[in-house]
Amino acid sequence: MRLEVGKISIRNVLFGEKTVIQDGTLLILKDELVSLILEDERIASAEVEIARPGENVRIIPVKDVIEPRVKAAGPGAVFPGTINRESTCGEGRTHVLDGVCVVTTGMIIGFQEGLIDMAGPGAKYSAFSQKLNVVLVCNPVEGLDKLEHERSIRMAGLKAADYLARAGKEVEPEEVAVYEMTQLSGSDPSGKLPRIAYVNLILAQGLLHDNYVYGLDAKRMFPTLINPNELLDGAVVSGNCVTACDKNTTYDQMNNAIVEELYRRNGRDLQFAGVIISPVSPVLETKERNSSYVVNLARLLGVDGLVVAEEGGGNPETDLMSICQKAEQAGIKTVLFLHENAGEDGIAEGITTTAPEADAVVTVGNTNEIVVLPPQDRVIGNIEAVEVLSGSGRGALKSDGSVAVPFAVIIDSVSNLGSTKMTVVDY
Amino acid sequence: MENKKLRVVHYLNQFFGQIGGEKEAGIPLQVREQPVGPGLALQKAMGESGEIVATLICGDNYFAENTPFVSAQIKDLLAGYKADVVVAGPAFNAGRYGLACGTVCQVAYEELRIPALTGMYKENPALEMYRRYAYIFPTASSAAGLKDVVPRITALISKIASGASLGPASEEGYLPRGIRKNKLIGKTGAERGIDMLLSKIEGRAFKTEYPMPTFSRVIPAKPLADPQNATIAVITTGGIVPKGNPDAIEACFATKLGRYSLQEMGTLTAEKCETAHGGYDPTFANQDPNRILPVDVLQDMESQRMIGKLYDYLYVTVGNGMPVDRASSFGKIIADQLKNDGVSGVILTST
Repeated sequence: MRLEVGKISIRNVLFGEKTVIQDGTLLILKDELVSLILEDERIASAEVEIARPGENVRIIPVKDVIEPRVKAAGPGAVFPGTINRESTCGEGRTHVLDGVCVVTTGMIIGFQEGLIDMAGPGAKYSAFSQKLNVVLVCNPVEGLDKLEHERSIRMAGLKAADYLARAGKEVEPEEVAVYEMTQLSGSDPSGKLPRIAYVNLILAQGLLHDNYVYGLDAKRMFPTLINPNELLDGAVVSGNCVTACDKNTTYDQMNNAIVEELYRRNGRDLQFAGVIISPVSPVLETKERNSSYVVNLARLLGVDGLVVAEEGGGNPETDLMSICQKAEQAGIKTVLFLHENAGEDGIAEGITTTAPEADAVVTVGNTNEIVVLPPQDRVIGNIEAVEVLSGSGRGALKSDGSVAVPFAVIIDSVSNLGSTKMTVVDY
Repeated sequence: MENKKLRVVHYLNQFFGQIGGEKEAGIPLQVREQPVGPGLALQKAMGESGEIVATLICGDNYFAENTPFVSAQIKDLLAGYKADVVVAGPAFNAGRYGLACGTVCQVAYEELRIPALTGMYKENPALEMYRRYAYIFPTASSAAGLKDVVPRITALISKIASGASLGPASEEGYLPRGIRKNKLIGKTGAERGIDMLLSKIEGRAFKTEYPMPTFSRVIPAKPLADPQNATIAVITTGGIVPKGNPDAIEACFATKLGRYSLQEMGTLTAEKCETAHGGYDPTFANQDPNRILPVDVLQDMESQRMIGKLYDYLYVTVGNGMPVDRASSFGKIIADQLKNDGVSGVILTST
């Protein structure tokens, strides 16, 4: 598969008479976008707001972040099997509105969403603070159950991203990156470079801890091999309502930092041998079966090493450790990506299970550590939500409007996929 | 930042306090208002950043045999001398002296929040026990290592005196205290991880960013011999609380443990209960809290005499992201009370 990703650099977003890109500015015809979202009968009302880097804005509660991408040429579509019936992706040319994100908000569960600050100390921790965010504030019809509510917001986000990206379909991108993985031994005919595959663990637990692969509920899938290009085209969509930093957003999957890094070094100091996606079930028997099967796939690929990154915390550490143990026993070296829950003061044991083979671990941060964020002039969403966000609590909202929250609630401040420069050091 | 001359209190045993050897190990705590023994080198090296206002000297055996009493004395003296910093030892590889130095550091840090510094050899048993409470610098096994460790201790004292915040263990040279803090560094996690994996595959040296903790394992108890006469308790980390969450148990990283009377609540219903848990879709738990906390079934079993009695209280917390040590401390509180009340079996449900 050969995928060209054309990046159209967007420097501002404004509302306008037509949804179009003009001289690096994305203009949005708001009414058209709102009407598109309201085609879904489960959504009673919707508002679209814009938050730019450096503005004194807090977006809360955030459910997901999605990058606007569209298929400009070639087969298939972006977000296959979700907002369209296309059954393939990862080839041809995809256009990206680089610098723009669609942010979905809403109190679905109440305490499972996060926040994005566009300025102040919080902004240095989230990549989304550096983006031009098109924020969807959707209110569901009365009595809508949470499962349907989540689904409607997820679809609204994908539809909005697709709608905006279409404005860039015919625009000539400033930069085109090529991602090519045609066959598994393609990058190094000499076969001397170490072969490395990436195990992308995705939550598949029910009760709104779910991901969708080509639209398929990941609870219904077995670990499988996937071309990394398919991830770049939105083959994995997050339906997660889980602690903000525990989850990997749809944006994170489309811009997967581990995929990018493996591609960057492919053919130079490693051979990128593919991606295995494995659903993280809450059931031990399934964890055992899946971890064995991941390692069987890795052996079939003939890899020397596996990068294994978690989603969620707690029980997913069993998948992480089990894959590590079985792979190492099969002679495959592993590196694990995880975050710690080391308590506010950093003195607690940060994970729930270990394996003696886990001797190479990247820690992407302690999600429990507290950070104080001063008030912002404007709030998109509902600031009271901070008191119920997972990981904060009553008293999080101070009388001066500042909030004391764990890193866990700042979306992507601690990234399981290693997209940030955060780590944990010993004091 | 303005430099302040710190008031330093130094702790020594009878030997380094120049009172005597093993024969004097039974002497009680005494005070000299001046530097003594290794304190002379320390005072010289500190220069203007600190002044040893008192040296506390105690026999190793006396300390070991009267630890609570001596600890209380030390606490009073540190407060009395208005200590800004405490230096203990260094203890090198001396066992009893190491424990005494560790205890002094713990009293200073835990009870008075005074930074405490010491030096120990890597195999000194006190090191693992007290590393949380002190900036412990590695030393040689004997007093010959004094000249090497004094500059490192005084460098940290100067930094404290300057008011600057102290850096991580690897920067300042002390041994990690088991405190983990977030830090933004030069490379992304993805870059670091792939570097690490390539090093591992190619046999080069690499350093994990998180040495795995070791956990104690709980051996499951034997089945109850006589459930018909047993009192059974049911507890959960699934967050089922009386409506309104009266104890404000947090949705995640909970710090609170609830204890609710079943006699007051009677049965668990959607009208009376809800979940405080932030880690799952609450719809089904709120429809019927017995799905998380199976009180209905247990009450049936009680009335059918399949179990002796259902314990009167429910213990509830939220397990979502709770650090292991906090969970262990909750477990101990619950176990002590259950044991007191003659409970012989517990059903623990999680989500």
